[in-house]
Amino acid sequence: MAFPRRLFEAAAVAMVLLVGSGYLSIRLEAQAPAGSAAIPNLSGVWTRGGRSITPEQLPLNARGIALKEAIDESLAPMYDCVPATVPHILGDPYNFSIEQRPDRVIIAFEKDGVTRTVWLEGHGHRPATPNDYAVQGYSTGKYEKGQLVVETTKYTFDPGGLEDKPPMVPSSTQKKTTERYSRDGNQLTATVVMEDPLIMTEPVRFSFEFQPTKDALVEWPECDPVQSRAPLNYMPVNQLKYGIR
Amino acid sequence: MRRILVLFPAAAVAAVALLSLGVPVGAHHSEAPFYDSDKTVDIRGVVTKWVFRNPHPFLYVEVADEKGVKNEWVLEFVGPVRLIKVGWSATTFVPGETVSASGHPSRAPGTYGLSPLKVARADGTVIPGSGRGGANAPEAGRGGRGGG
Repeated sequence: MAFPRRLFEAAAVAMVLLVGSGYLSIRLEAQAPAGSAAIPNLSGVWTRGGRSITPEQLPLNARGIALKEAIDESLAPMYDCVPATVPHILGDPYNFSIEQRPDRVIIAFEKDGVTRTVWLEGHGHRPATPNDYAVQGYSTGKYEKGQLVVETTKYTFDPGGLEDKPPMVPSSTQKKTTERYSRDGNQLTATVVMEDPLIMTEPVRFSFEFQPTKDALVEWPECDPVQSRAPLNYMPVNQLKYGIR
Repeated sequence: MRRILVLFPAAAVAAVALLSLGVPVGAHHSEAPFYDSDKTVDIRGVVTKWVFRNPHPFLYVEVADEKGVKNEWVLEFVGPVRLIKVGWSATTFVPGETVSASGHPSRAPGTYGLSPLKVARADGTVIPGSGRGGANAPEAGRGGRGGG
């Protein structure tokens, strides 16, 4: 009976290794369908509906105050067709869709034609590297207590990253957002905690509510970078902070 | 002072009500730095170009003033996604057609930008969705508001 015992021991060791490395959780999570207690069914197209809560004022540190003062309208990235980022992209009146795949979640926005990929933990995806710095950052996710939790880091410096409407507040490469998506019947709630220790003294919280819609996402027409800057010509020179567009 | 005290609670209630209704505030960019909302001008002219692209579509209209001098006015609309949802497209206007419009003029001297309140066909039919706000905004017929 020595052979079966060694086989049992080997199986136990293999089990420990599998659990420890996360491979077993891959199998378990992959088998749990969206809509189960652990994984809420968030898939579909969502439209703004309900309350939205945004901070009245960002808790800027001295650097943040100076940067806010320095940034002027001409530096707004949208004038070069640069898309909005979380949390602001959730606040504009455009629809978005969520597609839950076994190893990732795809969030597609009508706004700016942005498509984000959230890499679910426990599926062997590589961690973020410095080469992952991007406008929308690098997102990883997990299901926790019936919520989809998305952590995004590796945002590039963004002149409107903390506040994208005048007066803008930029974000640093230390910006981090943690989104939590939960569903209660026909209501999707997205809360976002945004932090940037280089610019704010403490994190701030946003909350948005959405309703399902049967409308398909409207394809975002191409953005024209020349046309995009045209409105700046309508500002009188004496109203430009630095006298230059 | 007494009037201010009376108005303050009402303003606070209104602000809370707006927040609780989830009205989008200030999406994309405000037109205030670019267009003078204290002024309204009316124009009538011929379409020379229609650019239906992001971030905002622009309609170029050649307009002759009272002296016969022609200037090209540029009408800036709300984001095209919002317009697509109410039936607009790259063929909503065609070069050569006559349109009339009223709206807020651009602030910088010597420029001819217009933030339209409404745009009408040659026969005077107002085009739904042609206003950047108010009664002719894209969502006006659906009871909604929005920016961008």
